[in-house]
Amino acid sequence: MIPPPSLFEWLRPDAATRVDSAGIFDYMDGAGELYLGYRFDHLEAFIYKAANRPDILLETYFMKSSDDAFGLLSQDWGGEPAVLNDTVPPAPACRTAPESRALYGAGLLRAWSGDLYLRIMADVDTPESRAAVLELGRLLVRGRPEKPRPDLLGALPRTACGGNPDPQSVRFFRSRHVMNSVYFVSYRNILRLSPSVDAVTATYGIPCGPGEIRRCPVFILRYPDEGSAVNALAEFHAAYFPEHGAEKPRGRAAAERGIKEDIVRLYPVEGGWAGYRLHGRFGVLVFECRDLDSGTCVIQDILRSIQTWEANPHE
Amino acid sequence: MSEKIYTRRDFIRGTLGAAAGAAVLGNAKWNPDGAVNAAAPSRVVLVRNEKVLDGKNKVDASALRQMLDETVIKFTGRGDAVAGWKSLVKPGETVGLVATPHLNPTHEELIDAVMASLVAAGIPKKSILDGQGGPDRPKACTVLIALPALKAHWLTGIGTVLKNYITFSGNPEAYHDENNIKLGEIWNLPFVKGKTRLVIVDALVPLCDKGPQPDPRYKWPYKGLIAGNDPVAVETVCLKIIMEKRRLIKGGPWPLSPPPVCVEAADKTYKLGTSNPENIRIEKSGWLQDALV
Repeated sequence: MIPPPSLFEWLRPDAATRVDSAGIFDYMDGAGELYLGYRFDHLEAFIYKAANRPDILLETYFMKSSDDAFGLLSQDWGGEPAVLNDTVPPAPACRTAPESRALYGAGLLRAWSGDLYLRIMADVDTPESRAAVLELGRLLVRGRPEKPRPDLLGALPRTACGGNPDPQSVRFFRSRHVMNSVYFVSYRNILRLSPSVDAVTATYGIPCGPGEIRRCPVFILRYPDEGSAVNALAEFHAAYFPEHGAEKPRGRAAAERGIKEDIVRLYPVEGGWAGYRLHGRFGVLVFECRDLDSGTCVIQDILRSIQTWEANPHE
Repeated sequence: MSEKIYTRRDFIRGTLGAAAGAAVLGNAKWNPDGAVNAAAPSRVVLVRNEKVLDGKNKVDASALRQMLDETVIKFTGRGDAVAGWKSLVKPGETVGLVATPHLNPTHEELIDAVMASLVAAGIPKKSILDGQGGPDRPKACTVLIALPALKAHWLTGIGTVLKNYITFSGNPEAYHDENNIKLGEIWNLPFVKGKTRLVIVDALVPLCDKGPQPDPRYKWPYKGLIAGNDPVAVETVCLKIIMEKRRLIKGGPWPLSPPPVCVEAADKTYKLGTSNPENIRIEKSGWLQDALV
């Protein structure tokens, strides 16, 4: 993908600034963890310049999968949806997450297209720079075969315990840094997140009484195998619920670290009830539920959703 | 005995280091009338000027210089800016200006204005250094003027005053993750401690969310300078402004995540100043609309 050498009055230099994973911290002030937390390959940056016009920075992030590029966009669903490509695949079966593939706001266009994540930003948001930013996005994306969203989104239930998800809260991620930027759990990697783990989150508004809605973040984590999931949840249990002791070995998969697959673990903690459940290579986590019944209800609805989705995968 | 792993629960309980959750959750007890309870509160000066930026956020250097003068006069209590700067920095001293180079960087116009002010106060230009960088920078200076820009940070919650000295440690990576709670200790390094005569926060166009790259949707023309010599008090006021702006954007509480645990730790653990709003006196001047504190 070669960006156009000119765009209206704007011109770019011949060569891009190329940044790989070793150089990303120098490029962005030590916070390259966001991109490395997904499967980042490299990025290419150009600055388009025009006389008496704001500079336009084009950053193209080459990710190792379209899921990673989607995950970056899912960091923030704010902004005005923009359509850059007329080859978007059919609407996904699961509508939990927003369907936008490109979002524009205040001079910044963010988009995912296959394994690319784009950030195109004008120094100043003017009608001319907006037109140029959007046109550049269209030129870069047009004709590219689009990929489906991460399949794991399909595991999020349409409702949980009678509550709807906030579409703006849906994220796909793989790292603790991203998880903590969404919902701080621990600075340590107590859920053993890694590039080989897929994770989705959404916050559900659970009805708790007349006119009362309680916002409960839920997480679905898919590990490479059942043993990885067991170990991760055991570590989470030990770190997050230390007063409840270590899990005792139960069941086949949990023999080594001991989490029985069919048991929901929920505990009253600061800010509400929190807990988890293992399901094969999946871990389901809930936070800030009102009580034991509510937490159990949410987890069971998520579990049913995962089972339905496993039987008939979509997204 | 296994090492304690801190979690969200510790943070809410107020046992994550010294940090309690109230301030960063936006529930800190600020007196609505600005009254303070301490006998000797930390003073934080806030000066704003509606005309310091044009519609495209371009800085009017003249207006900014006036704001800076007013900030120094107000903070030092001297009759003019030159006298104010002279009370802060003496001839023969070497001054390091410690600006923020990345992610919503300090405006060059502010750095230039501070430098011009120091020169006007009799400090030779050759004695005014770029203080940002590794430990050799503060070691070369007898005085530091911190010039961070107001911003939230993707990894540390807030990345303004305390984080501005992270490179002085010579090992910034050592302050990542949970160790960001220790940012205050850098201010107590022998070659840093006691050198900061003034913190002036560039709050012209703050950034209230996101990173690691700036998102213009979360920048706004606040048009302010925030100053004091208590870095924790200044940071606490900065945090209040960011939290209020976030609340306005979302229409309700929008906590920073991860929480900026370094602020209260800088108070309770490293004794750098106060993070208790009741011990902070904010002295406002100029444009007051939407001051958020």
